[in-house]
Amino acid sequence: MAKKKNKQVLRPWCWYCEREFEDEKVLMQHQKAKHFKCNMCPRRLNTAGGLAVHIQQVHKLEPENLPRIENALPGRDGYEVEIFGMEGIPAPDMADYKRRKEIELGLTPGTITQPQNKRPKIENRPLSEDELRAQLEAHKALMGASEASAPPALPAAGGAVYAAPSQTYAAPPTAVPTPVMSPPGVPPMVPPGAPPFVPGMPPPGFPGQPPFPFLACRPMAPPPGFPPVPPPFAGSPPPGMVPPMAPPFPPGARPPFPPPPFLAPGVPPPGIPPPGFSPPPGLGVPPMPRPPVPGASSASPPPPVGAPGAPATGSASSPAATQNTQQQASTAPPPPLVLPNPSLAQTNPPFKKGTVLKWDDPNFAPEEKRSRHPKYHFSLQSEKTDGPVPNVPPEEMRGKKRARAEDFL
Amino acid sequence: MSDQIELASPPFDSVSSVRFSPTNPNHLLVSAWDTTVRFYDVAANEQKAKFDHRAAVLACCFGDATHGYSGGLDTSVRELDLETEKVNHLGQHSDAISSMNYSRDQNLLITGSWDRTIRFWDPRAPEPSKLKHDLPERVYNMDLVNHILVVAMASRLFHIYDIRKMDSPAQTRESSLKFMTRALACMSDGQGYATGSVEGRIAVEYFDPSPQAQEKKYAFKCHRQTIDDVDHVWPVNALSFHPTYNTFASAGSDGTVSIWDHKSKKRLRQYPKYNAPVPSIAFNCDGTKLAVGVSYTWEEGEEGAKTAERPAVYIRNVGDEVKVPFFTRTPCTPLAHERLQPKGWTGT
Repeated sequence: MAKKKNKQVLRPWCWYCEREFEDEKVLMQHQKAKHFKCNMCPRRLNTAGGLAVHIQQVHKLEPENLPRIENALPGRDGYEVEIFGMEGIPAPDMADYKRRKEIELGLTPGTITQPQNKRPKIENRPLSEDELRAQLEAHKALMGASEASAPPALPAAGGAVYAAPSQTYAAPPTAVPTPVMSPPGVPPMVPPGAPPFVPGMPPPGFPGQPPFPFLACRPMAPPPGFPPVPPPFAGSPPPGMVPPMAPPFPPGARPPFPPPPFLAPGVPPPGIPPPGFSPPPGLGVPPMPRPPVPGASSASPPPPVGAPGAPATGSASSPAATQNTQQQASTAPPPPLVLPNPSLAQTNPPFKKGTVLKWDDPNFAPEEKRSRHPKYHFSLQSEKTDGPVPNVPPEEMRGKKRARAEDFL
Repeated sequence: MSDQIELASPPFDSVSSVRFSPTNPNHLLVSAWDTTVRFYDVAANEQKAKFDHRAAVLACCFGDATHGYSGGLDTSVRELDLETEKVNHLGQHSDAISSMNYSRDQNLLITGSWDRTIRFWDPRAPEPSKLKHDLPERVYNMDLVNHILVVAMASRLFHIYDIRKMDSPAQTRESSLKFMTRALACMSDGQGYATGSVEGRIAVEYFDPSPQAQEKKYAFKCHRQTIDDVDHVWPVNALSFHPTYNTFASAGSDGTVSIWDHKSKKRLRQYPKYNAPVPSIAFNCDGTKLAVGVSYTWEEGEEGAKTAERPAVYIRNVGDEVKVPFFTRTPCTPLAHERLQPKGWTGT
């Protein structure tokens, strides 16, 4: 099955003219007919070498007078390369063709170059725990060093950060071992004292999303996906959901779910431990919604969710911004463009008739706008601290994705 | 042989500038947003060298046959040794470098930046930084012919300098186009320059400040299309004069490249449309080839980048279409500005 897929992606192709074929047999027929055909007699040969020998011996032509290979691309019309079907194609040409093919098909670089059958089968079934773990590890490895440094800054109770900056979600909570990975149905047996639910995990029996894929996607799932979960529980938890022994909360306190985003400013956010509240033993920090400020004590009131707090928090709470989380993880958002001399500001004159101007900003060029995109932005501050070092490896300033893409080429 | 070839290993992200060598008609530098400058031999269709930078590169140019220069968002001016692939750091601007030119007479590198300065560098001196000139606005484009340097800035400002006496600009002008300046090129005969704006229009201007010469300047529309009675207007991204015939090519975000004769005010040729905007073009030193960078130019921001075609660089062999046509018939109705007709215009 995997093999079939492989052929769909990269079909046999002719080195001489870069045409694609259904299979190698057709390709060889094509080469015999189009490239290895003697133009002095009807004879068709199997290879360029064969053709050369044929012409020399049968038609008594000197080797230097050999006609070029017919119908070939410029530079590929010589006899030096012995091609037979797909065999004998020079490696650089092969790599180049694959790369162009990948771009043409819109594949990520390396998908063709790598053995196809290593691609995991995609099936609609819940992934097993081990698979999830492996995927998580692979994802973390892929996300690289900038996130690797992040976890120590997180609170010990890993998953308990709601409305956290984007990198929090990029680094999944591995510090909490069993509860996170335990399948649904376990919580009724949770020992008293442990939090009844692992935050971020849909409560057991909650209809809707299957719990496991949801958990698997979590590192990449947009944070706004979370707030909708709590409302059914915000008021009164359905009976039977919480084991009678478990609730470590005083009556009236909310279970540890994120506060609804529409909290009135006067109402103290439920992140503040009510008086008399004692954190459950076993976990140092109560799994409360907390501001993601490193070093902030658990008693400090969290900012209302969605309020313009720290810039990172703001970006995490807007759905559009989550796309860029990886880029923003390491650097602050680029400063906006400012006119150096506002007195010279321009305005575009009006048009007499209906006109679509493809660039209608009168004061900033497309390049200036582009330079402030997180993908391209270059912070002069980092330059200043490093000093102008001419021969720094360029990768350090570049997107990891790009660096990886280049590894294949 | 076909009329154009595509370079085999183009940049991975948008092309910012293509520049041919002043001495070798086959040597080409391509700077790009993928933070590289690539050095090609276009006859062999071979990438000879690649220089990685710390951020996107916006400008590059040749010095002599074996040296190039580059600058971009990382604000640093670099000298690139095209043979050894060594990079020499010459100095720095305080904002992105948008354009650069090299004067072979004076052995001077001139860089223009969004930090509202142009700076002069002597790459051979132990302390290359020589001079700095403050300008009222961000530098968008520069071009140099003989010793005349034209600097196009934001807010539609132009300064014209004589690089031998840089204490003050020889002329300061406002663009005759009403929209942001996007492209600039000096005529090969040193008589004037052409500029393009974001509003699909090209102006031809002359250096000579006398009223007779200034009367000849004119502007015309291009790189636009009327669809359902609505004008779609693309920026003119690049201009390049032919080194011998003094005709010029223009490139726009509509993906077209046109050849114009500014004397007869005629379009000589429009090449078949490319599948993406053309951010930069350049004629080579003997005028036999035109390099055409094809890639997304950020008109639609990040969204457009997602659906953009992959970047490409084409090398077009130019033929008779760039030659000034020999007119035997009387021309069609003269345009409004064309009161003084150039000599040789009305043939026998």
